[in-house]
Amino acid sequence: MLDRLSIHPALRSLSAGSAAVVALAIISSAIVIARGDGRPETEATMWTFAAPHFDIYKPVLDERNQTAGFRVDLINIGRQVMDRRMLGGFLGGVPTADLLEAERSTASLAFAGPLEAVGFLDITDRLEAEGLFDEIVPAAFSPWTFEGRVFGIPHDVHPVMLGYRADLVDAAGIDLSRVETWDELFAALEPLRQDLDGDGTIDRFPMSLWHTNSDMIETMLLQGGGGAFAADGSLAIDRPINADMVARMVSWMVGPGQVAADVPEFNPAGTQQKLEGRAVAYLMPDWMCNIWRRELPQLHGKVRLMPLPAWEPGGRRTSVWGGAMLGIAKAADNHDELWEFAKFLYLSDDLARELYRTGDIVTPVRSLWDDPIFDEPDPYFSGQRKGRMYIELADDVPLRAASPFFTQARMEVLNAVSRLHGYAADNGVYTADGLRPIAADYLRDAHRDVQRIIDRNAFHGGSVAAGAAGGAGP
Amino acid sequence: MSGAASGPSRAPYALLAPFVILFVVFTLWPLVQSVPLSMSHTFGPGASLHVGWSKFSLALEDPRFYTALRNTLVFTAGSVFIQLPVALALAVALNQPWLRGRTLFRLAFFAPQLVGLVFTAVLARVLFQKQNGLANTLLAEIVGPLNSLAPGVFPSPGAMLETPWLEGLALTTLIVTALWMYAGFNMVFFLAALQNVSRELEEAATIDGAGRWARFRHVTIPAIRPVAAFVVLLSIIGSFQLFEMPYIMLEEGTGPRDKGLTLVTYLYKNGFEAGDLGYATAIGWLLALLLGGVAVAQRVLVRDEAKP
Repeated sequence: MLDRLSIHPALRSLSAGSAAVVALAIISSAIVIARGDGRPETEATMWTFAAPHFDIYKPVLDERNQTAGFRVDLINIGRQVMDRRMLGGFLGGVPTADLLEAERSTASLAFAGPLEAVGFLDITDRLEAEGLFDEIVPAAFSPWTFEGRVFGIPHDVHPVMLGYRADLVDAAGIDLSRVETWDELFAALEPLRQDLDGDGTIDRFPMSLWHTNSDMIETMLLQGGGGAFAADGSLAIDRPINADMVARMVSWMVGPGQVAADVPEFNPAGTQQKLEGRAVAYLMPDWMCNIWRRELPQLHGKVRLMPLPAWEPGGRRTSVWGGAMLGIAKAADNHDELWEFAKFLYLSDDLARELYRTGDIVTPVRSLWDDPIFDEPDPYFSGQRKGRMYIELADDVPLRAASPFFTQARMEVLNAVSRLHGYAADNGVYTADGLRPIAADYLRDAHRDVQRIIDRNAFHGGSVAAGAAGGAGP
Repeated sequence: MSGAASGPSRAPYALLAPFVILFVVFTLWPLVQSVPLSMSHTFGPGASLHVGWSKFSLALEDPRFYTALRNTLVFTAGSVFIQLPVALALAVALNQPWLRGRTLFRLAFFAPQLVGLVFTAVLARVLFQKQNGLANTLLAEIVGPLNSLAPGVFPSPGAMLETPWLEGLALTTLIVTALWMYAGFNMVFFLAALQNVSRELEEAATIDGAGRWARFRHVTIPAIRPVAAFVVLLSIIGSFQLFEMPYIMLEEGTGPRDKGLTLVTYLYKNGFEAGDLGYATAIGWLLALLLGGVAVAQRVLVRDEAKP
């Protein structure tokens, strides 16, 4: 029988090793094809980018999938993979998940083209029809609103408070309850600005804030009514208010009166420095509470929260840091079922409670704020009713305009702040008044550079398109 | 005609086919497509505008492009003028027959290659942290005793802990990390070349009265020149492609004030963060032209040097 098989002469000449490799390749390919991807049979797929979100949703979805007619498979693919695959899907038409939970920088990628090319489903009319614009904090919609249309249900509102080492503050006999502004905070915490090892260098600073951290800089600018974009979405880096705040922040980071220190976020070095008390106070959005709770259990009961000190007396006492939305892929089938599912996942009271219980995140849905869970004392935060404190600030969270140029603008603002820090350190200019004109110059440079990027964008800027476009339009 | 008779003429094509198909689909076709893409402003195939050469002219007027180019050139110079001499010196040292534990040393210097670039970069990021990074802790430990010997001459240990390796010194840090990563890798090439240097020639030079340096200068270097030329070219091309290391080690992938911005990082940021694939492709083509020029120049130089 074997003799009758016609084996090609080229294959017959394969060595035993080569034949084994070829056989292995064929067999393993067959196994992979036969196994499939191992995912359950569902009507829709959802991608998330964050492991904590996955952990919250998974049990709820598993239970729901037992009974619901419209089942959804949840996959955590990580933020960077989400960026690539979402963009690949929206640009190239390759399949994406039906539901995409995206954070701000990811979502902004989808807004780089013309409005009609946004890969998320426009849900503005659905939100309007169901009265959800009144139900949810307006600031929570702003990062997902592009040219007046909304492309995602907000996951959160992420107010920011100031978290501080209550053990250090109490031991020094400092009372922060009457602190209203940043200047008052630094004055109050001055006794804790210490050279702990006696080498002539300050080792403990009142606050964690550094010119290399774009999130912190943006949070501070938004609190003071500044930021890279105006409320209408236009570029506004060169506003005088930005120059003023940038000059003041940099003056905090340099010189003999330095009050702000570089305590890196999300890495072991920063965690260690937090434990050692390198800085006393930290910008603390609601989700950050969860990170502290998990990564710094040693600080249980030693941390307290307070509203952010304002830039000026009577000013805003909170800001915003981070954010996610749930978008429906325009290319997906079953938009109505996906919409119902999205509402179930993001707007239900069960999920809101779970989101707070396991993630410390307060829901943006106002009607759910009466839930008693938000009034429970939190022993990690010295028994404070943390949820209620964040909720009380939620309506004051600043708006953030969505822009396809968000990433570049943030980067250029950061460059300007870093340049100013370099200038201050090199030239010994340590006062906000001395730094303000230089800050204005550097921010003008940043504004000009981003404007150039906008101008060359044929869909949003127009100069390139106007000057050279000759091809087919969208 | 029998199958056996026609088989051998078709078999090479059949065996080549998988490579050719993959090459055409994933390399050649995208390469061809990148030409119109570099002349377009696009957001997917459905939204594309032809913009002529404007993406190229934008690059040539873009200060950040020049910052990226300058940083890449400095890094490349660091690779060629620091890393390769170190690699050669290591190879020469580890080629000495009298050195005990040579294999162990070779393995130690090559080890960063075994763990991979990403892991090395992650580790380097930790090592070069302010305050509790190993590099700064070491510097602080060194200046501590020096300060007690000569007060005021050296910075305080606390100041050394704040050395901004990943900020103002980002490019230096990248060069040092690349030295750690690649010196051992290049050492292997030099080592292989050194082991092929003719013993007879070296002995003849010794008999003629050539000292150690003269032998190295006039016998060893000419003998390893082809390998050295290859390693130099490889280093230059690798340096121009620098991306993963700054992306992992530096804040935002560039460090503050673009201190660690490289050409490929800038390409990536434009293509995948700004969504301007046309501009990213134009930068890619400029990079390719630059590398092509380097390769041609290097070949010409090596050929000229090889002439008697």
